[in-house]
Amino acid sequence: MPEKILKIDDLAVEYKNKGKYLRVLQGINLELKKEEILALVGESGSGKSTLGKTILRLLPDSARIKQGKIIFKDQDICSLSEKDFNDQIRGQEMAMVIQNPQNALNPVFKVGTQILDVLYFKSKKQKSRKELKKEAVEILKKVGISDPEYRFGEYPHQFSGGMKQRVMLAMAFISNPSLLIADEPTTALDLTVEAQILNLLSNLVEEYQTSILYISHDLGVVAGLSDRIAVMYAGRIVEVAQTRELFAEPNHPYTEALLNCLPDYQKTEELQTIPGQVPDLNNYPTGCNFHPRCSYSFARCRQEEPRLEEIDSEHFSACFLNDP
Amino acid sequence: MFIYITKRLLWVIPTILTVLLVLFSLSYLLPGDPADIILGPRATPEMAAELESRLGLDKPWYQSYLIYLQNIIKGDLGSSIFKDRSVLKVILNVLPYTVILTLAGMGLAVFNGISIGLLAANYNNSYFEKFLTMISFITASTPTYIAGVLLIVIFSVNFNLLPSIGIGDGGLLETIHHLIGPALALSVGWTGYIARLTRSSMLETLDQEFIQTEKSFGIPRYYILYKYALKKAIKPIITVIGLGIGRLLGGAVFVEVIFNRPGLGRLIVDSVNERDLPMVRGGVLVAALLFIIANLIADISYAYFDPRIRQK
Repeated sequence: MPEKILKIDDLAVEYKNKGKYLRVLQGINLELKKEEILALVGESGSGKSTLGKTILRLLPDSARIKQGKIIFKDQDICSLSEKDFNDQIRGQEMAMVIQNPQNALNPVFKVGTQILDVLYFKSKKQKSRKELKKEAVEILKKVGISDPEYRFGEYPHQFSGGMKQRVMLAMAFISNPSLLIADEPTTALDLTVEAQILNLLSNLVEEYQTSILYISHDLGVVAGLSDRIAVMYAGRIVEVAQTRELFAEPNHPYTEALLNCLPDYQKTEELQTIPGQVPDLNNYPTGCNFHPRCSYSFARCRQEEPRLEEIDSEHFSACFLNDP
Repeated sequence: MFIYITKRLLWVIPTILTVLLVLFSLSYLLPGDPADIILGPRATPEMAAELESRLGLDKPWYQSYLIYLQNIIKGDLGSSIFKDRSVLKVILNVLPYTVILTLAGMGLAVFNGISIGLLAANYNNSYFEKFLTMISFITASTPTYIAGVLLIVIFSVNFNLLPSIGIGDGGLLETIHHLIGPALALSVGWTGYIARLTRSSMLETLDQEFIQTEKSFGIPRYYILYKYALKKAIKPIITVIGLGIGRLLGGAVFVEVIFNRPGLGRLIVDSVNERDLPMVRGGVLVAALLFIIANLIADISYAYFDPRIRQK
């Protein structure tokens, strides 16, 4: 059994809005094994990005962790001070790649400067930027940037979207993190570039032996990439399973509905949608969060909240249909 | 970069021509007959005719405008009606005092304003930030003349720390000692303004995604704040500094009068009172030039702070 790198235990996160706290994440339990790619999927507003940001402590001031632990390599990282967290975790053990490469790089600094600074602080200011430049150029070459020496002195606006995302990956992997949080890194790219970036990502994962939490709303993308998938709905994880199993035997009605929404170019029937919307943070339904949109719902769904339970080996689901 | 600067420089020409046209038309736009206004009711027709020919009012306006332009290009701003001295010489005599005062005032405003703004952005949503915001509001809404009088009352009259009038005997320490009060008075309004602008621009920048990226890669907070965010946030501040030079030149009038210092502002005000038309024209022209130069420097420094402008 491969060792666990990240374990999230009963995590709840709240946002303060107009003096009231609104829960954004609730009862999150999740494990990530070493060198595993775990995909976190769900609709917009389901809390996927919030979970990623919570792990790296990038939440705005208005958010707080209400309860729960985040255990990274046997250490509860929630109890670290801000300074220790920055010195030990960010850029050392974990890194993040965000959705929109257009905004991910600072427009007024040279790309090279930004890469060097990451390396410089990774080395705890022990090495000079001159020494580090070789390393930086090396990794740019590795992520497929041609003429890296020249590109080093250019500004972000001289790079295309795909190029910027390559630079982001270079900056993320340069610190050789144990865990990479990839928040929809290909959503803003066009399809051919997306394929290239995904390819590059798989190669880098193999080379650096990094675990990835891959946040996406696109089941099609994660199908080919991830080892396991966790499905989120309205701030909760509703199903976790091996990728293959999830596609073959989805258990939760929400997962099933999501899979039905995948377009299939061979069929000519109309696109499927899930009726209704993700519930408003102010106004969660009682019982199971999904019951107003669920075609199988019955009385108990409206009264109790289902818990995530193991229904098969390594397959978890939170639905009363398994326990009528 | 070169093209950008050349373009900015070329734009100066029409700006100056417009300023000159407005200044020239002063003598036509002022109500009444200029010679009458300047000389007063006791003027003889001979005196009036002589003045009119000196001001070029005896020729059609376009001829006289061309002569005016020619003289300006030669560096001749005419001579004062009363003092019988070259306008250029009088202006050059007082100009250094105004330039030093404006630069010192702007320097203080920029340094204090950006410091307060950065602190406020860093400690956003705390009581300290509310305190700083209050200070910004108070300073931003204090007129220069009130600040000047208050400074004299507090530091010159009550504590006897700063001189209240004059410019000193010319020694460096004396000059600086005499500059503190006036420069502070001049800077007060802009300190608050720049502080508020810095705060909002920094908060806006800190909200952007690349700041999160930098944070997620383990770059320390102080480094993000003072290197990455500040350089991105500084653009609107520079614009305001460029425009502010004009406002400060205006404020310098009050300061020069209150602290009894020689200077361009005071010269223009005195000349207006004396209806010394050539002197007013010359003074305003030089003030406009200072303003144009300040904005030119601001525009060119954008290119340093924003690489996207450099390539345009």
